[in-house]
Amino acid sequence: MDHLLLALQNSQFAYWLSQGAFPPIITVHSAGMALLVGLQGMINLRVLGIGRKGLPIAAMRRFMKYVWIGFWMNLCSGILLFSIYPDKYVHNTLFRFKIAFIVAGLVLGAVMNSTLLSVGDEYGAAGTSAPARTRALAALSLACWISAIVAGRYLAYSTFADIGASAG
Amino acid sequence: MMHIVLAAAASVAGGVAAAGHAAGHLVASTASVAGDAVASGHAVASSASATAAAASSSASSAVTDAQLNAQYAAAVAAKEAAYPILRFCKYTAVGAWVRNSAWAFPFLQSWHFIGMTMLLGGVFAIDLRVLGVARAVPLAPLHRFLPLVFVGFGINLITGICFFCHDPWVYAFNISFRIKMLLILLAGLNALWFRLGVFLDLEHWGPGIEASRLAKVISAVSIVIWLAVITAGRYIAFT
Repeated sequence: MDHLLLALQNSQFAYWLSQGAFPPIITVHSAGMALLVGLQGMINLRVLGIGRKGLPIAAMRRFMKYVWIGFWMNLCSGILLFSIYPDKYVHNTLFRFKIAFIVAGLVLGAVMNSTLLSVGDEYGAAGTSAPARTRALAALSLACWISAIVAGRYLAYSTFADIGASAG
Repeated sequence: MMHIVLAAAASVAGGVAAAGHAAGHLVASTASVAGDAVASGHAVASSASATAAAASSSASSAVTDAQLNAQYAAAVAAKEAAYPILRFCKYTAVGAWVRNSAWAFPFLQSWHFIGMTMLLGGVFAIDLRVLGVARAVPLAPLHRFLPLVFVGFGINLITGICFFCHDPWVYAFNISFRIKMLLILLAGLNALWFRLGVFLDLEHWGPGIEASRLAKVISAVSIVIWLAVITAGRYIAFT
């Protein structure tokens, strides 16, 4: 396994990624994050009660399509970023935490959605409150996404120092 | 004399960058000296010619580390004297903290990215609704998220000032940074146009109501500008 990762890391492809292709890839990764965490965060905050007076919870489900667009943008760009230093990432505790937070955020979000957003009419009207159990799921999922962002930022400084990706 | 000092500083920066294994922080600080030499209009045609000039001067008389350090310090003093406002920013307590703390950057960047999701999550939700996604969502209450958008902007303004103060020259003469600031200003004016120009009758924007063509154009422009802000922001480190 390590042998394979090292071969990828030493490949022309990984070299090309670490040079000219790096800025556009992290740009896509950031934009995807804004869509994924931004819109998922808005849905979770509505479930937690913000904007309850006028916003029907069920209608917020429509934003999920764009959450998934953000997710696929970040999965694809994330795989490319991983390809640059696979050997470093795979042994990096922060990276493992980041992936764990993302998986947990996705699972908790899916459970939240299945119990709430897909039920339709019951939460179709404005002014409805989500049950306490679902609010707990929303809070946990939000915490996971924020933790994934923080882990990702610290990860950049623990692996990318030697290619000069510091400022900004 | 000034030419030689700046050329030497540029070659020091180039040498560090070429080494490639220095911490990004160091590359950023030293590169700013070279960037400033170019930006302040002194006769440094390119980093290649600057390096050549420094190489020929070091060939004629062996330059010691102490001399190089003195030249570097002189170049820093010269750029600070030339830009008192940037000098003021650099020596604020915040600037010193970010420069001297190893983990200030990832800490501040975490907040910068969290602020970005708060800001853009709300903006994208409103823009997408105006464009016709989630038409079942009434627009007026969607604006309950606006305080969150402003809190996100505030977080990013504060953390952004911290980044700027750590080495003002890195940002002030960086084309990506300048474009980013301009784009944020445009995005603000665009949002103001939406609020004052087409979004006057809040209560009529209920569920299922289709927005006007002008509102849709403004929202599409808003999404494009904010994506460009992200792009320019990420390119600050690479220009």
